[in-house]
Amino acid sequence: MIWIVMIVAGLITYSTRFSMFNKSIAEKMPKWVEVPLHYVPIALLTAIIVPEVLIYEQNLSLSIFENLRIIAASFAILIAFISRNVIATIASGLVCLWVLQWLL
Amino acid sequence: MASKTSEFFMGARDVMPHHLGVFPFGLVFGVIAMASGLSTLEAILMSSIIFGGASQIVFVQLWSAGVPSFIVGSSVAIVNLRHLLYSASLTKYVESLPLKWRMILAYLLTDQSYALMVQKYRIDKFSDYNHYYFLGSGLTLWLGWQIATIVGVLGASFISEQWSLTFAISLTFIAIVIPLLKTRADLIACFVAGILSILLQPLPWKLWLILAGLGGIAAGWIATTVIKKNRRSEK
Repeated sequence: MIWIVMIVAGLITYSTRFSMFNKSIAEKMPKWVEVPLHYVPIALLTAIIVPEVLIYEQNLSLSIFENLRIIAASFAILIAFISRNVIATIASGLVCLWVLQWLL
Repeated sequence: MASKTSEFFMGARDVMPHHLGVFPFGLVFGVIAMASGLSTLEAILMSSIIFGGASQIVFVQLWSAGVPSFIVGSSVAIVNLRHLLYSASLTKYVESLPLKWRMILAYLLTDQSYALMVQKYRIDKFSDYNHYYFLGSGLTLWLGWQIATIVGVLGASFISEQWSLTFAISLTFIAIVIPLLKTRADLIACFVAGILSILLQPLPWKLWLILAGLGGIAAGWIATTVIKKNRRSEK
């Protein structure tokens, strides 16, 4: 069963990648579609990040002392905003979390 | 004039910094896939069949939570919908290439190779061999992803929970999303998606992912329309 789902998901993914590399399909795509598509990465990735950070042991945890990921993620967001650098963002978030875990 | 080989290796070289983000990501995918009960073969081949980090993580997390397959499939599809946008913005550069080339390059189209290609076409619009650069960067990234997955799968039992590697995934996404937030509408899309992803948690089948995603897209879309209309009426 997992193989079927995996292959179907793979085919769908491939077709989104290939679609616009095909002139006749690209020409048919209406111009307005680009507006909602612009928000796809922002919306989907945010929807993955937020619960991953705020939900701690299956419960919503907004306490910065119990849920250290909140501080580490906020720090990483700040670094991402300043540096716009992938490596700096990942490294700063991880190191911040490790330091907090070691301190508290 | 750059040759085919020099373009290929230039692509391979320019993608190197991205490996530092991709490698831990692939490693984490391998570890999570094993923890979710996938077999070694399933976990390793998923990286070739889907070849999309965020969506593969979503896939294994939903699968292990017992979510029905059509929801798993739809969630993967919606996470990968962004490739449509990448694909569309590269159309003008690749449409004259032979079908065989377009088929291969489409497979190698990722967040990272898209970012590289946009830059490459901007500075080197007239190089005849830009597709070799695309191939060089895409293939190297693909190889890195496969190796990272295999290391993660095989090393799953040695990698400690305490390293908080799953947090590295959130950090990778933060690194992608933050630079994307340029307008007020982008911020609105981001906030709405974030708030919905928490509010909709009680829904079954992790439907919050799809719905928060669609909600964020709709919010951004509406905001764009409203802002445009206001601007027009101000004039």
